[in-house]
Amino acid sequence: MRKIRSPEEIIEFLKEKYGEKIISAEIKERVEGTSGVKLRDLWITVDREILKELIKSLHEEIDFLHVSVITPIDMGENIEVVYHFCVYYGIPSSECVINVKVSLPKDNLEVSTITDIIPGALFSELDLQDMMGIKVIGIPERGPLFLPDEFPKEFYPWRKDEKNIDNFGKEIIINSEGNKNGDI
Amino acid sequence: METYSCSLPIGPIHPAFKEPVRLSFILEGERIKDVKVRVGWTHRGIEYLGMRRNPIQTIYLAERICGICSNSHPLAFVRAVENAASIEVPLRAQYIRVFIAELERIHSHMLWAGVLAHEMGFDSLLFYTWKVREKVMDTLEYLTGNRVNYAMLMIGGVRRDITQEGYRFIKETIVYYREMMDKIKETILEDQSVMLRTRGVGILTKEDALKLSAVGPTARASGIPLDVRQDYPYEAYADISVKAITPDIYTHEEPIGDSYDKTVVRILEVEQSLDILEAVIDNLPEGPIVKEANLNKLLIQLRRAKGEGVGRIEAPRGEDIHYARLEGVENLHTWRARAPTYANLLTWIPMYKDQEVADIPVIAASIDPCIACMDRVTFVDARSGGERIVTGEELHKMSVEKSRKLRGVK
Repeated sequence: MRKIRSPEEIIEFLKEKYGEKIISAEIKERVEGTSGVKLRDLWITVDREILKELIKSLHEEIDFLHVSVITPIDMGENIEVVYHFCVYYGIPSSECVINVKVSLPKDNLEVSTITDIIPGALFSELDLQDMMGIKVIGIPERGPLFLPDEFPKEFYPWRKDEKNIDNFGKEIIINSEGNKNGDI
Repeated sequence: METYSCSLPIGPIHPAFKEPVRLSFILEGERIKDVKVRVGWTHRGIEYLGMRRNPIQTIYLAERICGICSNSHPLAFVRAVENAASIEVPLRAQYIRVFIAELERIHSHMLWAGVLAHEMGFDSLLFYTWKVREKVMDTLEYLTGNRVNYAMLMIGGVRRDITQEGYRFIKETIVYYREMMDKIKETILEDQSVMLRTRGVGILTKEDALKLSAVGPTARASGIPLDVRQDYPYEAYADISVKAITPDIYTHEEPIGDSYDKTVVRILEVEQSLDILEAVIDNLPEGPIVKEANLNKLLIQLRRAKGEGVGRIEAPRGEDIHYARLEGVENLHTWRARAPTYANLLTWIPMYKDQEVADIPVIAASIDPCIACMDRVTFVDARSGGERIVTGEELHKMSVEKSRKLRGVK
């Protein structure tokens, strides 16, 4: 039987272990149905140094992690990466979604792979590389996953800056016609 | 007999996959030694499009991610946006959402049963299950106006109510399926040739399913009782207790995660969906069906909202999760959609190990990626480098021949 900890207890466990490296922790609640069941999600922002270690301790000491997906978000100056994990699945009304967030500055876009802990994260990590240009260190397979092989390098569909794929066509027009304003 | 290894790439263009896939098999004789999966040939960049539209417009984009789960994706999406903008959903809308979701599950599982029958060369069963499926399609059309892409969901509720005539139609449908399911169960689960083609084929162990984060019937068939409806009861599932279906309920044996177990789970889930439909229709609360009916007001509210949210639901194929972020501007800031097949595709790799080429269609179908048509297959002889194109029809023929051989029919 798996020991079930409440979201508060999980936060407490992580704060005790990592102290100030846990930048923020929040529980979001949503009430469902006439019976008013409360679904509670955990949102944790952590320092990038402890990311992998934290995932490992969640996996080993809380519950066998289910990786739902990894979402990268372009916030301008930096890119936030959210790991959506689930714990206590298979136990009625007990599942908890743990969203672990790290912030990466755009001049240092690197995270370590977690596929050695949970191999199911492979596709999500390949997506991080292809769609957002985040280098995943130690990933066992080379991409691209969804994008074609001939997709322009150094341009990414989900970026909101000059590396967005929208700027790729403009560059070609500027180069071929000498048109500096880049109108298409 | 001399054996040699050769590679066998399948794909990439398979219009029937929800995510186009190329499978490159390494064979030794007829046995599969390894497989590599590559996806992305018809990636449409729907998330990219969604991030350039407002959340209400994006509901309709989300609906078009998949033709079969055309309620699941928008449901996960609207839940993500509701979480981000802290919008409550009226009770009646929560029940109607579940209602459409369960009708969709019935149609998806019936469609899948037909596809599996076809892959095995059991075409009379294909026609039978698809005929039975028409009733639920009619019900969906009656309630929503469409057979697919129901356009039922809105942020903060649903767009159409269930009328008194609708109740009658639904009751009829439930009675019809109750009668039909006994026959279907007997034809699929007790049939000797189905048993021969699926038992012990494409095994996914519990350990692999856990490690690869498998979802839905694929994980449940391996004995992991995970079901978002049970574990994380969203919408009206909070009032209706749903129990994750594992194959041992029917077989009374330890689940092994083969194609037969996956079939059992899906067939039993159709019956479970009927129970849920009855519970929903009997307890449907009165009241409004949407929090804010005026779309302009809703848009203004969404434009002002700042926040992020995750929407998780159980689609017919498993957990479907969407992430949405609003940043106080007109358009969505970020949207990420993850379909269940995205999580389940990796399970093909252990499932294909040591299987036969003739079982490729059955195993591919077992995780329900909807193979209706095999496009083309290329055999590459590793030693000579020679290549020969085998059509999807030929691969299908090999599968049918295996069924006949097993049944002793010439």
